[in-house]
Amino acid sequence: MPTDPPDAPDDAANPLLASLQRAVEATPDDVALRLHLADLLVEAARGGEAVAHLAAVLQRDPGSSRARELMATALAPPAPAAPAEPDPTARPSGFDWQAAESDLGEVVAPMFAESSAQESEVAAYDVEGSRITLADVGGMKEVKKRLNAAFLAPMRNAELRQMYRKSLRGGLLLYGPPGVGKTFIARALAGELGAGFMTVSMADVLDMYVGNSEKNVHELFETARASAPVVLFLDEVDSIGHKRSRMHSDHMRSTVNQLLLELDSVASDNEGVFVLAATNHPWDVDAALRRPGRLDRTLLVLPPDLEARLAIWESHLRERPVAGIDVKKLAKATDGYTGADIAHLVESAAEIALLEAAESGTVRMIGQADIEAALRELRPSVGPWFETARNVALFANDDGSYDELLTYLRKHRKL
Amino acid sequence: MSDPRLQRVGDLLELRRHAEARAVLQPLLAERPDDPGLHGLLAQALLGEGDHAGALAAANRVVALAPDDEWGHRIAAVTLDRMGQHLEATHAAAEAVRRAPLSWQTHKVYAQVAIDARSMGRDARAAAQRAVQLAPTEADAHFVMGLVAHRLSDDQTAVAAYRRALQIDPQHATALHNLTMLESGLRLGRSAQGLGAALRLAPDDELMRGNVDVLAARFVRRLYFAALLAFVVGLAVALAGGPDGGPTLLSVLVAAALVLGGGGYTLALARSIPVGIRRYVSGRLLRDRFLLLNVVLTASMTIAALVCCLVPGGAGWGLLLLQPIGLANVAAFVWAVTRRR
Repeated sequence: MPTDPPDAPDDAANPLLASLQRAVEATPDDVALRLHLADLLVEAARGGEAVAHLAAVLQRDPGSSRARELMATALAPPAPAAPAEPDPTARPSGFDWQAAESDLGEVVAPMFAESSAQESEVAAYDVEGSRITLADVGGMKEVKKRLNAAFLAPMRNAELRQMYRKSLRGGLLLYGPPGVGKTFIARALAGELGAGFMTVSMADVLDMYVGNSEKNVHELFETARASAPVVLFLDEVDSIGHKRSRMHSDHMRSTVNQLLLELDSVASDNEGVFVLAATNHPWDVDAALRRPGRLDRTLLVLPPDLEARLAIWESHLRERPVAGIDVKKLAKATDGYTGADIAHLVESAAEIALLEAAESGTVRMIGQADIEAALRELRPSVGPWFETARNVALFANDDGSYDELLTYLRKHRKL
Repeated sequence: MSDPRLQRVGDLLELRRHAEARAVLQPLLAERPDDPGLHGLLAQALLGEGDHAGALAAANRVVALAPDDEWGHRIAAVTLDRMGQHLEATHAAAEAVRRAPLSWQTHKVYAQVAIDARSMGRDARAAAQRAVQLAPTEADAHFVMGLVAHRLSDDQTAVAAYRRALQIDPQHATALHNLTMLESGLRLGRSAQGLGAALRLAPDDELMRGNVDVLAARFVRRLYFAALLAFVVGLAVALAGGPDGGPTLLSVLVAAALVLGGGGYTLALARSIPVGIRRYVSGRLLRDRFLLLNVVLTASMTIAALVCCLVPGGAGWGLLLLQPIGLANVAAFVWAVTRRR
């Protein structure tokens, strides 16, 4: 169940809220006033208090879409748990810096002036520890097998590697539809290797000033080298390294060249930097990036299999008030749905139960019927991706890059 | 200096990832709602997504925000053309030309929309020529010349223009596609190869895939008529030998010609087709019930023809099969007519 923030400010700190509270107490049937108060409470991150007012509004005006929206926001699940490893940049608990900043934002000038526009916007990259391993990834046996063959086995067996003269050159490109857990797998791989984890969306590396994007790319790799052993995860790699023949900007081309330079450098000089990249559009990735020694191995990550879906359903339902849920049935019914889709289904089901509870004034559990109702509304999000993937696998697979995808499509009668 | 988000939008538009381009544009538009360039990009994204009304609204916004700029008129012209409002499209394109007479792109768009409007072929050709004069090294200028000539049935000019476009940009999928359509004529194998090459460059292109469907239908039709002819000839040869007669030299020769000719042709054609097209067509044959019926009919008539020619008393068998095959053919014919309507 969601709870109020432990250090929620009291009304004395916010005279407007206190005054509104009194006004509502004086005129409890004033729906507009209650709604306004609830709105402000939600804004002030005091969702728990807002719920009671919103329930009262919905009792009087069940059709109020604003009240429903606010109720959904107020009762949204709490933010995910903090990372397992303590974040070195995290503030000590006890004082809400964010709230203070937001309260004083317009009164007190910022402590540090903004950097000049000429400077890079991406100054530093965080290296996280990863405690999850591949054992925490439910199902997906084929993916794990491929990861082991392509990445883990050569890395773990130095003697065998030397005997077979197998080099550690090159990185791995994970591709597949959005929302299937490519980042999670990369993180698990870092945990498996006992290495740090650096993730960066390549779209964030781009900078509007000539030379800065290249600098950012270099800085990223320098940080990785200094933090070895580390898994460097380049997300959305197509946003920087897409087909060069289609690129008109010299600026972008030089950024890609810098990335190629860094990848080659990683391959020859730097031990302990394991480059993983991910994209939803491997067909748009620059061919130069996929040459030997660079991102030369590809791994298709598909929507979760039955076992993985079971794990995902269980994980998403664990913290919620549920009753009578047949997880196996749901896992079977959601073939083709991604982890993100399942998360969305659970959210929608929670919303259905919540609104009903708010309207009736009686709290009830999330049931199988709620999830099935949500399931009827939501189709798998991967449909459009498979449309494009099918065309690519059919018509642009001369070099066999998409054989794995083709096999999957054939097996699932998607051709 | 240029905003990397804008570059990203441009790249996404080039990659035909229109929905993503629109998603990147939304926050930019919220920041700068009066930036005509952003509305122009939005119009392109919406056009790519098939939202013509939205694209036109965005193009009109560009015109309102930057009335002296040709871009808004140019996008409006393309959008109106797609909406079937060809005359209005030519007016918008003419406005773009008036504002930027030295821009090859305005002439290209004028040619492109004028060729869709009735009786404006001469204007379209002049505009295409002007585009080529202004930008002789731009593949798209030659492509539009090819397109206009193609539509005016000036095949020689069209082929030369498409070839020139491909010399400049060997990855110009549409030029390759159109050249294939123009040059291969009724040669199915060559058409399939050209389409395969074009689809390799633009696997998501619906028009090209539509033409593969046309090709598949043509292939099935060809085999169907060959089988029908074989059945008629086989039955005639068998009847000539008498109702209870055995296979004659002539009937064996007819059967051999059928197996070697029909089978050999089908095999050779299948081998010449790129593997992707072959897979696509196989899937299509299974999904399209009409095509499937034609395939079944073709196989039935081929077998019936072989029975007539090679089995003792083949004429009797042939006459027995004549009625169901005839009925099935009539049904297929009626289906074909209603389907065409």
